[in-house]
Amino acid sequence: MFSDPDVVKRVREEFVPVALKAALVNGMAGRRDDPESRLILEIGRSRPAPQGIAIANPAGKVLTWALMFEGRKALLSFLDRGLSRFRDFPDAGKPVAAERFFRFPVEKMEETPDSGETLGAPAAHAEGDRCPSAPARRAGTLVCRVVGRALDAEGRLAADTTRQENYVEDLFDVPPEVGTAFAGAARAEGRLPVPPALCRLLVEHAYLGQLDVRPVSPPVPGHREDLRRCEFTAERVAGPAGATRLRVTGRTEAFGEDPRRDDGASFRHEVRLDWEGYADVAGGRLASLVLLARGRERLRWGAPSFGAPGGPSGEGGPSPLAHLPGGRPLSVDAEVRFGISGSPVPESEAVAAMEEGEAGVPDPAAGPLPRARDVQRKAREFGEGLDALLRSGRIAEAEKVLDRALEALRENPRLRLSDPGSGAPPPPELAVRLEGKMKKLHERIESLARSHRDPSPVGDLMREFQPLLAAGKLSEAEALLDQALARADALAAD
Amino acid sequence: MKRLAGLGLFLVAATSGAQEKGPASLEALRAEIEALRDPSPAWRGIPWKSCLLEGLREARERRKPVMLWVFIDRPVDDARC
Repeated sequence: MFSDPDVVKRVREEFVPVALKAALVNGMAGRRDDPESRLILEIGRSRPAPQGIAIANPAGKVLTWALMFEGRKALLSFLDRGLSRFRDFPDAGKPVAAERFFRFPVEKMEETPDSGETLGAPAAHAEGDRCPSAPARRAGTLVCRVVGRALDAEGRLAADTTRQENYVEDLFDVPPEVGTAFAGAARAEGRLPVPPALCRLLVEHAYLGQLDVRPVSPPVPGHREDLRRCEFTAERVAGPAGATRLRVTGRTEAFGEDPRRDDGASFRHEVRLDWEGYADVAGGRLASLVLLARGRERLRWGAPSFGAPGGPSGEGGPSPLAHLPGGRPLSVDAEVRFGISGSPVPESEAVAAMEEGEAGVPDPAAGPLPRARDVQRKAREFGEGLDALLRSGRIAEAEKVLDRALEALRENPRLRLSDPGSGAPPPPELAVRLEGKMKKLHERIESLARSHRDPSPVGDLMREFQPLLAAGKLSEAEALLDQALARADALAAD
Repeated sequence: MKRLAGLGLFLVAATSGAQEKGPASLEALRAEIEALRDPSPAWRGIPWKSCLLEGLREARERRKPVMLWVFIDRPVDDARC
């Protein structure tokens, strides 16, 4: 979408482009009370889904949202629509309802009324305030840039760098403790194994395609990961004064898939790589990292119908813009190269300590449930993922995810469906009652979607459901379910 | 220009590597990584700001609307979506 020259030209000339992380807009990155955070949350108030494109006036009032576009012409018309709305509502002088389109211009959703208040938009952050959009990196973090590129059949670098199946750029952090662990291990003589935490970070980011198809640490609930091989070793070599240089070699085989989805987003992804490079250790920290990986990648994304003629993204079928969240069908079977270059975060940009709600990059070496903060992060990710499915009408998938979560709750003998508020033994029928209500809610949401009514207010309520379950607050979870059912009934009656 | 320099260095390093066996040098690897990079992919044509306050300020100064792209990614800048 943003590689189209006409779109690029118009966005540069007619708008001020701002990219915001969904976690901020959805209130998932910790609650802050600074003016920018409040503005971001206000923008999120009208969002039809966790991600999308919006046009706002300089007072921060959203004029119009869209998740997808009927085609290229519709995208350009959306820009026209935004400019027209801006002419009518150039500031906070009069209230403006946020228009919302599931698919512009053919599928309009219910508008979100103006909040009635104007939040101040200062020209700059107050002294000492950190921009909420700026990553919070502790001193000692190694910031790593990734570049990945497929080779064509003649062994040349793929020429088309607009598509993620050909070319990617990415960024990840090696946390200070992971770097320190590597530095500690590097004191040993001879060839030494690279600590698993660092190995995993490297293989996690070496893949082509969009985030959904990441084979290792898959971001979407239900995707299966199989890290079949992840072996890195290091050995000291001659290096610069004041640092220990190690030559790093490795071999990885990562596999990920989700063959069970019924919405065209099934995938199968395999990445096999041989790695070589160098790491410098200084002052007990990982001071630099340069790694090159060579290998082969196979990726298939989308059901067979996805790119078939007449089907989504197929010849004669709807434009890929018409289902942006789902993307295009992908088929990759190519030699690939990945480069990773890491350097320390500048001291001037490092934060002293992690602020509340900012977990930073999780430490994969710490195990599946290492700390309460990681559990909370997973609960938030689960809720966000479920929210995205509900908002985009992928009801069957949402139900499957919930079924698996409820099954896990029932099957784990260590979990007790206790209500900490009452102190009494759990009612044996509570799980059955919750399950029954969830099924009813699914049916209501399906019905709303079929009748082109917007189920997103129900999704808003249900965002807290999984965290309540995870915290064992089952009475509150049931009360929330009851609210959601009532809301769904009210929407159906409108 | 930087990319051409990187390619040149890569060619020199690769030629050297062909004459003597052994692992690639750090300089050779850096050059090969640099050669992978497209200096100006089309999708970098839009200069996205990440600070909303900065964007709103510029919008006031230029009297233009803001285009907001809300994207899902991991919590670091420039990560893929």
